[in-house]
Amino acid sequence: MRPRILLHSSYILGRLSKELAAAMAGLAIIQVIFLSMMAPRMAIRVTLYPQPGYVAYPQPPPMMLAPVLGITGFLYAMLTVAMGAQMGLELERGDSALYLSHPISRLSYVASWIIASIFIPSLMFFFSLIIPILILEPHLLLGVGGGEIALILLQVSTSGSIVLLTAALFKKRSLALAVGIFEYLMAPILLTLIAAIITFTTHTTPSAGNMLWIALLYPYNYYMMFGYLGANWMGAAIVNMPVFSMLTALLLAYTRWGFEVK
Amino acid sequence: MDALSFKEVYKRFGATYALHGVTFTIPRKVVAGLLGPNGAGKTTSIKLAVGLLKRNKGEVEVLGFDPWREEVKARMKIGVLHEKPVYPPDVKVSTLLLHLAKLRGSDWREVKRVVGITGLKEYLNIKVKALSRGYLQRLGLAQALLGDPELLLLDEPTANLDPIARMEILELIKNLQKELNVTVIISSHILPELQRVCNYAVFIGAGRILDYGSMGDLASRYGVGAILKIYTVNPRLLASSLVQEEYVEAVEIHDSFLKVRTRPGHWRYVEKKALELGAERVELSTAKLEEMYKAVVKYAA
Repeated sequence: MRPRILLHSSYILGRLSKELAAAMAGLAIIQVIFLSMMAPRMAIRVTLYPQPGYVAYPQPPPMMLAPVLGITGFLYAMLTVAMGAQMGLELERGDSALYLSHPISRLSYVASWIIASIFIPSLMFFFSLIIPILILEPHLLLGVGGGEIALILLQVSTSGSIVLLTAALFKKRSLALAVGIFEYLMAPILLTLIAAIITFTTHTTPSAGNMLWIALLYPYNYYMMFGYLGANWMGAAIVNMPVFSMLTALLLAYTRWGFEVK
Repeated sequence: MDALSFKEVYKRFGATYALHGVTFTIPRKVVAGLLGPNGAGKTTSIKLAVGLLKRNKGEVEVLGFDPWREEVKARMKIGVLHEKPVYPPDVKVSTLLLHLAKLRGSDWREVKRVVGITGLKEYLNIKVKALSRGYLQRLGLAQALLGDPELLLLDEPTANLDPIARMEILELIKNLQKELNVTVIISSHILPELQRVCNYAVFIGAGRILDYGSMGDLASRYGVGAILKIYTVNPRLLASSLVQEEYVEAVEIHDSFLKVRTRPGHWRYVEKKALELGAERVELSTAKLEEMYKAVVKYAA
């Protein structure tokens, strides 16, 4: 018999297969379009000064991954948030009582949702990005490009675990969705504003080091914002990883000891 | 070992106690009614028995397992039909049942077995949202029967059904107990319905147990009239003798047995008399649940 976690996560994925397939197709199409534009012969920079013209790159620089990661990363994050909120819907509506009346533990039930809403979308995102890169421009994966991908995976997974924790605690889909959207979209803007105000009022020059706290929840944003000041992707990942692990551990501990289904 | 036992169980939602020191046992192989008005704590008791809720204090044991700590072991042995069950609307009946069967380590053969019992064979390829209320309840019974459970917990199984669907479901439950020989616990506030199926009762009100026991014991304890099923080779002859007894209210003659309605508190006497007069076997068919309920509530007050 297959472990119940795998049985239930594949059942969840089966139920949401249409949405997942659409998201996968969307991600793949966008990524192929963008990455095709980065093929060496097409990778150009338009220049206006001193003369209008263009510079052709022999190889695209890793920073050219930024637009593709920005757009597809957003879709990937929204997919993770929406799927995590689905657990809130199940708990709110009462379907969960049906599954949990059969021999699946509370821990396996929530772990199935972690797999279905965080792990699988991350794999989808990773492979939909990695396959066209490997075909079109493998060197983008080396150095900074690979780090950016790792950071966005970590950042979205952290958001996913926050959404699942909210869904488990409050058993409301709308709340889980609102928290997810706020955490991924609104909070970074607020944090950037706070960072700007602190910098402005204290008359300090922002540095990658003293802004590292942003990487606690947003390692990718931190790296994109302060990369020019020498921010290190590995450092951002190291700062974020304990937060992600702690959130996941908190979710599992709550599930084991206090998770009730009405 | 009992099918279900609660020992001094407390369950609180916020500041409100849903269960207040609840203690009762239900032995194996009975059809037990968990009886009480709305808000008495019936559903909370069932959810504690399944391990969906965590008790604040006390002990709950289902077939020897603690349903909160040993949830998988306990749920392996029980089937549950919840009050107002919710099913994923866009899933086919077959997909849902097969998934639940797999969680129990079973396969497609088990799905075929339960849809055969519950009359859902023709509906396997239909989406759950297309089922009528009656058939949704059959789906509920089908999923509860997966894995051949030793204990069936049915929470208000006839709630929100039209009279025909209600009759069908009750008939199905009656047959289930006969054919599968499982312990069945039915929670309901509609007493006449349970009259037909129960031989054990737990009375609950405002989160406290009023009394519990077999119908016979309760009928004796509270002096409530009962209906006896008396098996004999010559029903007519026995009927003519019994009808003269002062504690017999009415006699109904069948091919191989009699149905005898007794006066409150005297079914033991009639049982003894029937055996003296040559009856082969006497079964307490039912006690009058409504009368019993009134007596229990009055006594508890």
